[in-house]
Amino acid sequence: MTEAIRQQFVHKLSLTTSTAELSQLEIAYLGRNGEINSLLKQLKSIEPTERKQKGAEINNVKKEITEKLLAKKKELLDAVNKDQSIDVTLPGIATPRGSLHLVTTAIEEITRIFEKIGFIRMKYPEVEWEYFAFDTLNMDKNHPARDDFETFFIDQPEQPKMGKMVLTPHTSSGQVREMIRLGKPPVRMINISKCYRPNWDASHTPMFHQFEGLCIDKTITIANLKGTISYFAKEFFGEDREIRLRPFHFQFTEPSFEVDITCDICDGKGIINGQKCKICKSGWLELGGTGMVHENVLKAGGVDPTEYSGWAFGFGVERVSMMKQGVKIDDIRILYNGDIRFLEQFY
Amino acid sequence: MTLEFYITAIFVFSNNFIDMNIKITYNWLREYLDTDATAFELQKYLSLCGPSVERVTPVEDDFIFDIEITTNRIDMASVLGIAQEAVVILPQFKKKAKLITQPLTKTFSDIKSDQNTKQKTIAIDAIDPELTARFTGIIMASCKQNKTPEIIAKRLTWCDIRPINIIVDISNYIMLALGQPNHTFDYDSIGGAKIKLRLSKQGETMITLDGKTITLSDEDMVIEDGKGKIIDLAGIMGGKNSEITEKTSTIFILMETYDGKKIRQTAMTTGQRSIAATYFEKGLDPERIEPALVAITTMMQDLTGAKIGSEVFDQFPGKEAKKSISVNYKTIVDKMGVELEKVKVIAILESLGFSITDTNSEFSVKVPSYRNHDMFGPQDIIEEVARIYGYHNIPNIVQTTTMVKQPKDLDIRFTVEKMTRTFLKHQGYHEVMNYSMISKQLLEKADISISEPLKLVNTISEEIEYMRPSLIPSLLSNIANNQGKRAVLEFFEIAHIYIPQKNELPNEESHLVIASTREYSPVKGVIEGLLAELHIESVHFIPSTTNQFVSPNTQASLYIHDKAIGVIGMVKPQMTDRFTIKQPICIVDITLQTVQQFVRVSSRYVPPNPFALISQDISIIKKITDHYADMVTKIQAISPLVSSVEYLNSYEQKISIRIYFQDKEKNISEAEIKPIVEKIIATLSN
Repeated sequence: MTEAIRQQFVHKLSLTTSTAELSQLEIAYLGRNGEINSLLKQLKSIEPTERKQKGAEINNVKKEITEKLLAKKKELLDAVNKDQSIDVTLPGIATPRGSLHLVTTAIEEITRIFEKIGFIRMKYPEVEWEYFAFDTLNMDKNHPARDDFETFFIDQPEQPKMGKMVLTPHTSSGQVREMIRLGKPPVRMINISKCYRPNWDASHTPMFHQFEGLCIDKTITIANLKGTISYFAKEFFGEDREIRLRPFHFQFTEPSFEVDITCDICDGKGIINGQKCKICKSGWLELGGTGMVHENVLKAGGVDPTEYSGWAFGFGVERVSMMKQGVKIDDIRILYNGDIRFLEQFY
Repeated sequence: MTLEFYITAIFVFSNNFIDMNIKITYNWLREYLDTDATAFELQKYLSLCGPSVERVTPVEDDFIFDIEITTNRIDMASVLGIAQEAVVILPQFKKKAKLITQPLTKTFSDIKSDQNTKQKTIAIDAIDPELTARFTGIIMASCKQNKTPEIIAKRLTWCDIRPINIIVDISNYIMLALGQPNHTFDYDSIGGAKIKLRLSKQGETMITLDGKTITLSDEDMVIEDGKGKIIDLAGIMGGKNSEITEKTSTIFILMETYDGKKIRQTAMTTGQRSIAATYFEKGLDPERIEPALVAITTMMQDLTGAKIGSEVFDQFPGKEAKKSISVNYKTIVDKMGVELEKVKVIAILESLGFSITDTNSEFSVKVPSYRNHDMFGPQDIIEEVARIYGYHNIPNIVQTTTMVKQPKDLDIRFTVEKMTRTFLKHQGYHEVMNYSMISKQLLEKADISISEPLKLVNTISEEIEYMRPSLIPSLLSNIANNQGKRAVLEFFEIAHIYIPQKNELPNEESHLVIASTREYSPVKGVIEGLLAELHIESVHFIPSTTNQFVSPNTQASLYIHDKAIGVIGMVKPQMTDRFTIKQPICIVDITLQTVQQFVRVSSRYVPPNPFALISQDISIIKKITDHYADMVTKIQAISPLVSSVEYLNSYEQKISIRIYFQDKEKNISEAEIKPIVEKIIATLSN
């Protein structure tokens, strides 16, 4: 009986070609209800004198089966290991790859950089009243920025206090809105928005993006303005970049500055390979405008200028993005004409 | 074109709208300024504390400075103006700087004349103080048209002014040297020896010096002679009819200031720009006319042998009182954040031309006339001290961080927009940004009435005349413009639409629009995937016919619970045809603003049901008018044991569905579900 089972196993094992079949065979012979266990159960009904010898026989067969199963498993796995072959140099199955607009990526990075020093991103109307776009920014009715050549006007009735409806020409329109929203300082705002001006050529688009930083608190100084812009410049453009402020003029800041950043092409030297650097002005690139918030603007926002002071800046998203990426675009209108051959390059 | 071009061309942070650059030369500057600073040192130091010297270009034995002048500092826009700045700034960098001559102290009495030659006269009508603060002139006779000295001709050329003849060249040279534009008329061409400054009449025409015929509005300033001829487009360009010719020997020199806004307006509407106009539009200091007239008459005498031909005609109704500003010493150092000694503060201000009276550290600061238009209060004084002290000497310190709460809805909005963009990008979609303004033509193609959207009053192109009431027309244009460039086109845009509201700003509503050349089903899959990514439950696609862009039989309205959030479907063939799109387009328009309220950013955990899950596939006939969603509702209503329903596929009229059964409390058997399946089939087959 035992021998018959052994022979039967050896035969079946010789027919086995996969590890799955091998597992079946193992269950059939060594499992709880397998052949070996049923032989062992029969031992009880055997004469005690024969029982010992019979038992030893069964155990021998069990041992043999166990070993043969192990050997066969090794043989089968070795064969699989040897046979399987892939041309690992073939390309994988492609996953879809879309793209994000250059401006989107820049906005996300700018937001992240300012969030780390406690600035919250805000959003204010693109279609705005003259009141917030100009009046509250210390720009009187005669300011040239308010004329037809510099600002888009909307065909809607004029309001007594708010004035005409315009497309906001800058993110600065959010300054007084944010002061009003908060009621009183501290203010830590980064306002990113579409802006509009009536210029349309290879270097201007009638719609563009700005990001505006506004910080108002007790004892805010020019040192804080410099510190923050320097922090941004190093985070966004690289640790080795330096900034400088140049005196400038804006209606809504006093003092006002233009910020320059060292040119990455000539390392701020203004000269590259013995030639004048074509990218920068004597080693410096203009980043944008900034200054200490004018007291008339603070007053317009209900903030007491004897108690609080602040700084503000407004930079172009498209510009910093291109300065960073070294993307040389000779006609920036391509940003907004939806050409797939342009869009798909930014992912 | 390079990056540089782009960078200099887009102005940010607003209102550098009427910036100007001037060119002067290093040697010319040194006629006013005694200094040991080189041209490049001047560039570096001036840029840090005063006017930005954008470029220095070596030329022969000289250097040309290209200098940016901010709108508030027109007083710097001359050789003298730069010299005055340099005198203050260079010593901060241990460079020698002293004014060699100060022409501003000269008065009319310095004009050297001989009573015998003052025979000529001109009648000048009383001026309107609204148009000009000061209107001054003098006649000079017996001008000999000598050759312009080479050094003058060269300097003018280097500074972008074309030499013409000695008289005109002197006029331009004085403008650049002292910052006061002036005009020289051929005296004999002024009819009736009489002039009058007045506003033009609508439709009047004149020919300017450059030979252009200008048609005037009723708001331009012109000068008319005694015979009613217009001889000057005031502040912008002289008239051809009174220009200096080689025969001219008697000239009338006019020096004046004008209302800046009027000059700018005329320059814009007539398209006539001139260097003089860029000066006048900033609003000039009328006090400068006196020394400038002395300088020009002296130069005419020296170089043309001209004689003073008349008295000085000087109308000056706009004389301004001397301005004085009070400021506290402590305020100055506090705002700067730097402990600067009082004597140094005073020294800086005095070297800038201010005069200081110090009473207990309360300074009374008298402003020189040429700074009247940019000095208003203490903050202006602080700026002057700070810039000369040097911003580069101020340390970089990030302010202490404090908590300012971001409105929750904005926080969610930015999160949703970011998740949406990232998800769609990974599904192969390309983000596009279009202008917020579109054309009338585009609105018409999309069947949108032009009375609906907001309109720009002063657009610069028909392409951008209306504020978008929908993103769909733009996206259809994107598809049309990219046809043939890629086999599959898949775009999305997230942007505002502008919904007009009476007497209020428009509602700027954030939308997501997707346009794809793929079929309905994969696009719907992407939307379902997106809403699942945002953890939104209870999303329904209800057949609808109301959307104007989408074919009725392919159209579904999207709902979350019972809130409409958008539409999906195939664009009407009539519309794709109008956009000249050659294939079917699937479009989705979702109001992101509404979706936002239902978003959860984290997942929810449900413990796995440990009891047996049994599935059963069925295939039945589905009529064309039947909706799968209704079938699912019917199946679920039949037994609480139905745990979910899955669509497998369709073949011709047959639809195959897999139904899962599970009990929440015990294991169920195949036998238990058999009657339920039969009932389902019976119900669906009816």
